[in-house]
Amino acid sequence: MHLPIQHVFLKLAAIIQPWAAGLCILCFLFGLPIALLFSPPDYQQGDTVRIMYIHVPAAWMGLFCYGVMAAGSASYLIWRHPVANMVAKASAPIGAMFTALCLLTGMLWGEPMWGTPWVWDARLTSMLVLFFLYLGYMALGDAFDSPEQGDKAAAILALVGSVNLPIIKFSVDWWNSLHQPSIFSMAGVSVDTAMLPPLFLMVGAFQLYYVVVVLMRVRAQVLTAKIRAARLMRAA
Amino acid sequence: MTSLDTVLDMGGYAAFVWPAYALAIVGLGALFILTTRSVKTQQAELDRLRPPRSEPTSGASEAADNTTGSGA
Amino acid sequence: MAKRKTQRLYFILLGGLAVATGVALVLTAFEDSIVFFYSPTEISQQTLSPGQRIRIGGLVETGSVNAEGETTTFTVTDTAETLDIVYRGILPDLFREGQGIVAEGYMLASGVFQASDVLAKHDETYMPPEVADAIKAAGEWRGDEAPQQEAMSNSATASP
Repeated sequence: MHLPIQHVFLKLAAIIQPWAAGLCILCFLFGLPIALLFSPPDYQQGDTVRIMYIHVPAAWMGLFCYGVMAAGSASYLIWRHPVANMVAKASAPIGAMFTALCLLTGMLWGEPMWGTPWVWDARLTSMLVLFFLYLGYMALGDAFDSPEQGDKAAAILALVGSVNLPIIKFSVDWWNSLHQPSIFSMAGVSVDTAMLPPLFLMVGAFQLYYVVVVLMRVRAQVLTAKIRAARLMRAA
Repeated sequence: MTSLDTVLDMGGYAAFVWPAYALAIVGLGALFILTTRSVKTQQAELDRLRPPRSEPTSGASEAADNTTGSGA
Repeated sequence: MAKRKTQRLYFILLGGLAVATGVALVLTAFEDSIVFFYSPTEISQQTLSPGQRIRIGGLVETGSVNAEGETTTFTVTDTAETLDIVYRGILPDLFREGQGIVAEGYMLASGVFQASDVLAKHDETYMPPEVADAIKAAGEWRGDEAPQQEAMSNSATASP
């Protein structure tokens, strides 16, 4: 398991990680006070619009992590890239956490504004399916006796499940739904400029958080592989 | 005081806005702590199985790994 | 080795195409259950059995809201057709004239819709109150109903 590519990756990670962590903390330090205190309330939704600064970045991260997971799984299945599979496996719990955060903050937003925390409309349902795809991917990876078999089965699930990504994205355009359409469209962004700084700062914070945590999780997997190799050497 | 009250009140939506931010902090924090812990226990386990000094062939790569650990 | 990799690539691409086609077919077949609500126009074209539960969506017509105690009557419109709704209960905070709403319930024999739940729908525009006032003062407001209208009829073109 002493593949040189893993060591190149870890060395690169060691350079990137402190910078990403520092920038992430900066984004939170500026983003949270602006989101909670210094940005204006909405003309219709009042202060509940502040939930958007968590909800929308969390939703994007839920989709982004799945995209990474699917791409990593594809390159593992086709070219047998071990690091690609490690990145895919490392992204799953992060994506699941962000998707859960999106669903829960959506409930907290829907209750006062829509009048209900949950409806089975196309957007909400497809997002819940995304959460279960993450859980299924993580469970399937551990369900086999040989780790390689589990990795392959999970990678196939990730690829099949990626059909859900365009469904989530376009659910609000294809079908009548309670959920409003995306704030980004061909016509531009439908959020006032006063509300964009907190939104983008939180997007940046979440994205950098992902970089920091995914690198640590890949590192943990490399260590696991080394432990396994060391145990085999001892047993031999 | 009044300004602090208005901030805490969130225009009457305090019961929805504050829990949303609390969930974000708990979720991100918990996953971060779990991840750092797993890296630490794995590293400790590997060091126990294979003390860095006793294996001269992979000494260089182990040193590289240790710098990664301090970066987190 | 390279040949096997190309084979796997094509296999995955074909598999993906097959899955996507299958899902697209299923979604088209179940369109009626995926659609969350119908517009007053769609309702007027259908024959509903009495007591059949359904969700309808539209804009609350200006000047149509009448509250008597806990019972509220109002009219929703999709600008083409209108539908009278009667509802007993607490309305969501966003319920107001010109707002998009979704009501769940059934048609009464009188042609009035008896709602058991009323949900408020909002559009994707977010702005501070001052900006909204400034746009209104400048006379460039598209009207509360213009963006709402788009939001309520986003699938009108997609669904046959």
